[in-house]
Amino acid sequence: MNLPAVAGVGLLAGVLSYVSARYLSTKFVKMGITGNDIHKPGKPVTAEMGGLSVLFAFLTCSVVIMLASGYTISPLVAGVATITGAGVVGMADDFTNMRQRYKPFLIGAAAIPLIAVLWGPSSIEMPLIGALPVGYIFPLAVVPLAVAISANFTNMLAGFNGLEAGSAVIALAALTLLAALRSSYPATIIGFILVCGYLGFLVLNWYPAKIFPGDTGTLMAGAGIATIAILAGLEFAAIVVSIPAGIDFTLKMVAKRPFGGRRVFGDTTVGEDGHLSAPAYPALVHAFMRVGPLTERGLVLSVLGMQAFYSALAVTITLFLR
Amino acid sequence: MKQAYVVLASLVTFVIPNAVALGVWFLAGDLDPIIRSLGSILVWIVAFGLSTQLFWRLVQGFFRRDTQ
Repeated sequence: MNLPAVAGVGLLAGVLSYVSARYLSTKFVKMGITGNDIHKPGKPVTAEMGGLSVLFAFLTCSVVIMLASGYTISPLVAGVATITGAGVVGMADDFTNMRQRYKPFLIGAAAIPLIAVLWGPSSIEMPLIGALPVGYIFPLAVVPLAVAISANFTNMLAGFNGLEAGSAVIALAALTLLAALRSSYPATIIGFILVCGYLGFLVLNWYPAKIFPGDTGTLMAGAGIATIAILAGLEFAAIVVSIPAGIDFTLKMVAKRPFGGRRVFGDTTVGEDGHLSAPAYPALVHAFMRVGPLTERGLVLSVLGMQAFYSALAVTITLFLR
Repeated sequence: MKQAYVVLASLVTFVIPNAVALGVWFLAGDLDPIIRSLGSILVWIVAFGLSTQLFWRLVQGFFRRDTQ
C-alpha cells in the first residue's frame, strides 16, 4: 500500500472518530449513558462510552485496508480482532460495570487470534541482551498477559479530561514510528489508524470534555499498545511507554486496599479556584497533585509530559541501544 | 515546575528494575536459556514493584520538605 493511501485511511479514521464522537456526545446524554465530570464545580453530566467512536473508526478503516490487501495479511486480521475484542469487553463493562477481577481474563481471551497467528517457540528482544528465548511460553503466556496487563494499565490511569486519549495518542505514536522503522506493515497500519482515531476523539475529550472514553476507549488503547509491540517485536519499547501507567497500577495494587482506595478515601476534590486535592491513597496522579497546586488541565498536561518523556526514551533506547 | 520532580523520581522505577534484571541475566549465564530469561523477567517484576514504593517515598519526602 502506498503512502497517500495510508495517509487517506488515517484521515478517514480521524474524521470518522470525530464525527461519531460528536454524534454520540449528545445521543448518549439523551439515552442516559452518562457519567458525572467529578473534577469540575457542579459535576456536570457528560456522555460516557465515547471509545465506541474510536472502535467504529478503527474497525471501518481496518476493513478498508483488509479489502485493499485481499485479506492476505493474517497478523493484521489477528491484531484487529484482538483490539476489537478488548473494545467489546470495554463496552460490556461500560454497560454492566463488571467486577475488576473478570476483566483480565476476558481481555486475555480476546488475544486468542494473536496467539493463533504467533503460535510457535519465540523470544523477546531486549536492549544490551538481544533475544530472550521463552519458547512456547511466548504464545501461551506472554501474548495474553501482555494484552490483559496493558489494557488494565490504561484502564487504571484515567478519569481526567483528555488523559486517556492523550496518553494513548503519545504512546501509540511512538510505537507506530518504531514499527514503521522496522518495516512491520501490520503493526504500523494498526498503530496509525489507532493514533488518528484517538486524535479525532481527543478533540471532543479535551478539557472541558464533551464525552468520556469509558472502558471501551481505555481497554482498546492498552490492547493496541500490546498488539503493536507483539507484532513488531517491540516488547521492551512497550514496557517503557507503559511505565507511567505501570507505576499507577502498582501503587494501587500494593496499597493496603488494592483497587479500593477510592471507595475508602473518596474521590479527588476540586476547590473553588479549580485546584485539585488528592485523597489519601497512593496513585500517580496524586503524586503530581501533592508536589504543587494543579488544575485538572495542568494535571493532565503534567501526566502527558511524563508520557511523552517515556515515549521518547522508548524510541531512543530502541534505536540506539541495540 | 515542581511536577518535573515526579518525572525525575519515576526514573527509579525505570533504572532499578532494568539494572537488577540485567545483573541477574549476566550472573545466570550457566543456566538453561529459558529459565535464565524467565528468572530475569520475574526479578524485573519484583524490582519494579519495590521501586514504585521508593518512588512514592521520594514524592512524599519532597512534599514534606516543601511544606515545612
